[in-house]
Amino acid sequence: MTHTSRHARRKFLQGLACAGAAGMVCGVSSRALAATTYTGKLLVNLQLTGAMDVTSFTDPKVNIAGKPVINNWASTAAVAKAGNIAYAPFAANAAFFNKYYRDMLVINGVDAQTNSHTLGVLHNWSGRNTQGFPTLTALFAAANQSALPMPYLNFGGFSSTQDVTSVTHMGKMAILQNLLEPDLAESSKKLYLPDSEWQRIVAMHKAGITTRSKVATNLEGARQQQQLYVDALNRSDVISDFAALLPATADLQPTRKAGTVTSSLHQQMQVSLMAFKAGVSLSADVFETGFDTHDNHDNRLSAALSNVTDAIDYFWTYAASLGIANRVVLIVGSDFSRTPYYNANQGKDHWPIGSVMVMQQQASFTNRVVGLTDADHNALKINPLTLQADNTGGVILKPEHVHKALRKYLGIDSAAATKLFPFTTTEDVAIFNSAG
Amino acid sequence: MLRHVTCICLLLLLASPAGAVTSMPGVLPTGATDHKSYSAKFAIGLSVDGGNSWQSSANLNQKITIKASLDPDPAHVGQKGDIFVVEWYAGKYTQLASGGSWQPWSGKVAELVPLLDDVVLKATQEVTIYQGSIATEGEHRLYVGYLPAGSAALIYSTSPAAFQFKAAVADPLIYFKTLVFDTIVMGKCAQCHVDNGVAASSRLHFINDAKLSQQNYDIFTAFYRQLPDAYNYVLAKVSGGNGHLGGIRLPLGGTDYQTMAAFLDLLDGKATVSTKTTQALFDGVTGQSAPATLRDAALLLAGRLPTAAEIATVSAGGDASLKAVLLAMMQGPHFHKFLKGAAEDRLFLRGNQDSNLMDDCPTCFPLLNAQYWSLKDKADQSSAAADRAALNLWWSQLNFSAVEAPLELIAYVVENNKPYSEILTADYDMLTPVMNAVVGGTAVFGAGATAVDFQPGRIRDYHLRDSTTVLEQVPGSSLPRMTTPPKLVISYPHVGVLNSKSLLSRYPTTATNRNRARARWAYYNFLGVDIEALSKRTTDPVALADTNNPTMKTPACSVCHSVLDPVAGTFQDYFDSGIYKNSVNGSDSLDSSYKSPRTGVKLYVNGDTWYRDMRVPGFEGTTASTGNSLRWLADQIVKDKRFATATVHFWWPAIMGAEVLEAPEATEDLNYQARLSAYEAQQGEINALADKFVQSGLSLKTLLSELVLSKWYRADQLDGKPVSSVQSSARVLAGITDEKLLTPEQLARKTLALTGFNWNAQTNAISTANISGLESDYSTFYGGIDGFAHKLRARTLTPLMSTVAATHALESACPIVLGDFIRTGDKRLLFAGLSPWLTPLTVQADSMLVTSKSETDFQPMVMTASLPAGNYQLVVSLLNDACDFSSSSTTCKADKNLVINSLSIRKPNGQLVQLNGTAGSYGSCGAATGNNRITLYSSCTATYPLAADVGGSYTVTVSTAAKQQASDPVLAGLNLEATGSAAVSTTAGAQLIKNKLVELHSKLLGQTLSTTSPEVLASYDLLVQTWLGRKQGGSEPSLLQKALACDWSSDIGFISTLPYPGNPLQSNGRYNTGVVTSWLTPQAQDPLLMKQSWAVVMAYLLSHYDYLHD
Repeated sequence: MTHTSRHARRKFLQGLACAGAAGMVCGVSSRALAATTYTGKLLVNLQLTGAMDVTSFTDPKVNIAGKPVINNWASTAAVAKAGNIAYAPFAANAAFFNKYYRDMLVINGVDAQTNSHTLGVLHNWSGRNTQGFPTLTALFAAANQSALPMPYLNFGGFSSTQDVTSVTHMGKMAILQNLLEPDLAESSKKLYLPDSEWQRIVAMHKAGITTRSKVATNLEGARQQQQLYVDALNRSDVISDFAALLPATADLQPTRKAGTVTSSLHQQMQVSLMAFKAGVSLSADVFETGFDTHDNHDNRLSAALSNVTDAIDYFWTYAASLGIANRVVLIVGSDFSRTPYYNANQGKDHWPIGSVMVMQQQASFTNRVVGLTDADHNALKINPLTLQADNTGGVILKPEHVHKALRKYLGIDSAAATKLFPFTTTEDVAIFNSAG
Repeated sequence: MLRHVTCICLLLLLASPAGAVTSMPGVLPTGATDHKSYSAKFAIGLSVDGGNSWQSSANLNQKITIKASLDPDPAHVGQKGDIFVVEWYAGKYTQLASGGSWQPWSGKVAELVPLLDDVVLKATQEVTIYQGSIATEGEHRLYVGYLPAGSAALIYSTSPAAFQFKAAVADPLIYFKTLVFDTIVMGKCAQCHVDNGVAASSRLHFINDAKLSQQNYDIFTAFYRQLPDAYNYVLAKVSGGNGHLGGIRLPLGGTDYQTMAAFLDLLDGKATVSTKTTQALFDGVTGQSAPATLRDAALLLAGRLPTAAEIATVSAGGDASLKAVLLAMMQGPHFHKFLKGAAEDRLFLRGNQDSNLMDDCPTCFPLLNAQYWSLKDKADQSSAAADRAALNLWWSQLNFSAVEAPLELIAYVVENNKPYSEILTADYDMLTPVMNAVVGGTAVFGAGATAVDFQPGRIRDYHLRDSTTVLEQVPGSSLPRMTTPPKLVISYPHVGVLNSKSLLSRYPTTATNRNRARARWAYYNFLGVDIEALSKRTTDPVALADTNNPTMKTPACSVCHSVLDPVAGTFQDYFDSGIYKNSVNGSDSLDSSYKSPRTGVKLYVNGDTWYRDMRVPGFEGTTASTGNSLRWLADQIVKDKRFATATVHFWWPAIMGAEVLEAPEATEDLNYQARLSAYEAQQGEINALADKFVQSGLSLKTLLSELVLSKWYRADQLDGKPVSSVQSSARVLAGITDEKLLTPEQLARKTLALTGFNWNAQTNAISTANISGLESDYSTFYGGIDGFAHKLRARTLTPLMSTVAATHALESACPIVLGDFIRTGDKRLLFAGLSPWLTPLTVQADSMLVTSKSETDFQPMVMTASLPAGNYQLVVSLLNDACDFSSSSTTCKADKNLVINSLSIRKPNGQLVQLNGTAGSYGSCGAATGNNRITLYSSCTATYPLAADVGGSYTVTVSTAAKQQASDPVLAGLNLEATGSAAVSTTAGAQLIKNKLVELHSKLLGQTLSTTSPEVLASYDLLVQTWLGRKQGGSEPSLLQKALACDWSSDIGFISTLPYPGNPLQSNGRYNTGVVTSWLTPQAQDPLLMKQSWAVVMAYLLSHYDYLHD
């Protein structure tokens, strides 16, 4: 594509994006559409780093007479409910659950089998507590449209790909625009050289690698590097389409102060959705810190959790404005959870039983809670089919069960990439079967 | 010394009676190259028990020591001499060089290199030849000898000591005693598998006594014999499977795992056991040449290309001289950056989210408090922005000083050739002037030191909170105002990086965490042990949810915590964010909720410094000595043999450009065999490197050089022999490639070193360093880490990363060309010796300063050329047009123009052809100005035909005049060009351009090419096509064009690398772009359009695969 047509297209796209009319082709690049006809699901995984206390969120626990206080909020309030979802009346939960209960599936009683952050992260985001498996987001990208220029975005946290796809690490958003249009000067917007000359250079690079790749004595690792170099060149052309839609720096979501944490979560979500919209990406890890609340738990969690629920609200609102809300699946989870009691510093320490939330609009599996914990927040065995308590033939839910079910639900369980990382001995649990 | 020695083969065996020289057996016959008789005596012995006994054979897996003993001739005792060691194995000779490397030896005495050079010969000289395990089966023969100073006679053992190495042993008891008991049973199992131990409920109980190997052998065999499928059961357990509560003790496939498997083979009655070497991974792989390695390593370690002298040395001396050259280049600011960057990759200190480390302790530093309030009061009283900025800058500089100090300490230890153990044991810190001033520091700084230059020093004014301390809380302030400082003043007990504020703050503790994170990272970084991996498969939910002090009482937890918690205890003196002895009067750093619980039993007893419901401070079974327990820990760590392997782990990624592999854990995993193979091989290399590191006296420079010399770094090509798919996959998994993607920092350094341009560099307000965009804003996008959200580097290119590379190339190319053509003579970095006025068609070119007093003051420009018959053209150009626009931007206040009056061409036969100035073709930049003259008003050319109807000497005289208002004279160019196709031109210009391209390919891409190489011809074609295209398209004749961008100002230091008269930066630290552009403009003129064509070639080279990979 020539410089003239490319920049003309950008201008056209910018016009559409500015119109902001959902349901139109607003912002959808003709080039991106040409590059992919993908119209399937879009996946975002929100990693709440540090182990979030789910007893103040989706698995509310009240205090038991004679036992240590589990939650201070429970001394003045009862467990609340929105639809079929029980939640803790804590932080800004009420508004959040009342608005979104129809769009969420809560999976409680997920046993991370560790109290270690490193292993909790590994287990929850790869589905296995030993190294060697990719993230669900990586698999999702690989199984669908790995050929997109940025199939899998990662804003931080765990991002193992096991080479099934490439992960794009995202940095300072304010300079992203400059990267998306490498041939344009950032301030003057003048070209560094005519597009035809740059294309000649790129063609020379590709031809050079083609010649080199025929040399039989290349080390295997060198061949891989060469291939990825050409692959990056081939796929990077479409990236400029993203530039047409990327908000100006001033329009990027600002960072927010969430307790002691400076959060960019809203911005991560904004850019992820815009990348989806531009057709350059379909999978993203967004991450947030501030949940390692060994002291001053209630205050710190309240600030962090309020920001998270606000960000998720923004996420769905923005996805709707872009016209892609009906395609997006949002997973929310953490390393594990925190003790059902306070330590001497009004903090809570590590507890292996956590929860996962899966959000999607108008899905058949939502407004449901799967998984059981007792009043002391211990995981209970459930029957894999009926999902009811089953202390004899049931299973304790573990991340592998959640991953296996998600792979199936997302339609990637039979993809070639997924089959390389099987859960061969993991029971099927009917997490997404609303009849269960 | 050796050059005086006659070439004689050492294989000449001279028989002479042997005498006993040491306790070693096998005293060897003595001979000399001068055939005289000397009473020197030699012995070489092999031991598997540290020298207590000597033997002639060993097994491949056994840890052995080989030593030589020399009794020089009494006449030589006290003199200086060189000592040599030679090995024969499988028909080849190698020699042991200084530093412990084995090098091929030709058999010629003149080519021997000494193990020890110029040592004073003692009556008995002991030399350690080898420590470790041997990987090659069969007979190894060793010779030893010495050469007295000033003598031409080499005195040596004429017969070798011969040692046999067998693949296996058949006696399981011997195997157990020599290989299994100390390392595995005592080191890995007996911690838990003992009576009353964590694994007391298991069926295997050893006796935790290092002297009872026989009894423990009996215990294990009895246990083993009663197990069904014992072999698999035990191996699964030790590798963390089969519900082993102790987690992974012997990583699958690791050396210890293989040793255990071999032992079980012997127990099962197998006569031999297999041994594995690391060689298979490199079967069929050839290594880099020494000069090629030198180039890569110079860019990596020194941020520059090797010098001509270094190249010459290495080319002549090969690998033998490479190490010395590498060691010598480990200095300077780039090496400093390399060290700090590599250390940061492991410590993540810059990822600290606390933006002000130094406001954590309001009582520690009264001087700091006073300085803060002095600055703050001034800022508050004046409300001046400058005063507020001064306060903020001071805080930032303090924070920078604190964060960077451990990285600086590591760099200081290495750069000053101190034992690497000093990074943990140093009794000093690295302080900046700004820090030194507020902590009572003892650092001494030179006169030119900036506020943030580091020097070693100790903190002498650390105050411990006491009851007399009075603080006044002031809302909105970072620190309370200290009206009465604490009276308890101490010198801070520095323990290397371990108790640096930066490390303690990055890994803070809490009332319940109790220093465990600090202990975990100490284990990980300095002992190479990932505590969390010890029990990955601990899955007992009851244990994990236990509330009754599970770390002490629950086996599933104890397995890690029994190791972790004592080390956590050694950090007992450091509170949450690293404050030393936080309690009143500095009694301890215990949490107040423990000392005075609101509920429950109070465990604290006056005088306690650690928690009674945790294990006592210590290290792997040994209780810490009283006093400074962290100092004690540092001493334990550096004495531990794992410190050496951990150090190799620590620095491996920085050199190899790949992470250290983790042991594969699940046999069903994809590429398990390949992963295992790669892991095994890598562990073998790491162990070997660790041995060399120890032998070097913990010299990190030596380790870095050995890493570079390793075949892992120097793997270059396949030799074409068939390889298995497992081998191929293993090499990929191990990151073995000669084409490693540069990190953003490496790419930035490379571009700066080779071109002088520091892309997107801005001055860091705190450090005052010019930081490339690749080291700041663009880093994460290019696979870098930030120590917080991103902690693992990307090692392969992605599409978005390729746009970073493209942006870097496109933005840098023009300024690089602009700047380098402004530089003159040998100041040029890339285009030395090349005129920007040469085109592919140039037959001959010249330029002249026209110094006319008026526009009719014509001056001749004469060129004589010997030409074959043919058609040519003469291109007259104004090369340095300038216009100092008035405020209206429509007219020039000062201008340069070139008047072309006429041309005369004298042919070989003497005939004179006269052309009017108006006879040429010129664009809109020129105009006829009467009397058949033309005037070139701007960067412009006028072209005239030259028909050479016969071959011979032609003399061209151009009559020109300058019309100028500027102070410097007009520069006129005369270019004699061929008229054929530029693409196939063979003119002098084309040849010079191709020569330059060969040079650029070499310098920028590391390619060794000729002017006929396809790569060079492709670059030439790019240049030609760009040039022709721009000529046809009427491209503007300047690099500072209206249409295209040339972002010279994106490097804040760019102009200072050029001969700019004065300071280009304003007081606000920004360029006065108008003023600087006025200076640049005449030098950016490009009437022949060649500079801009070179800029396109530069963009090509900077985005080339070989530029981005080394």
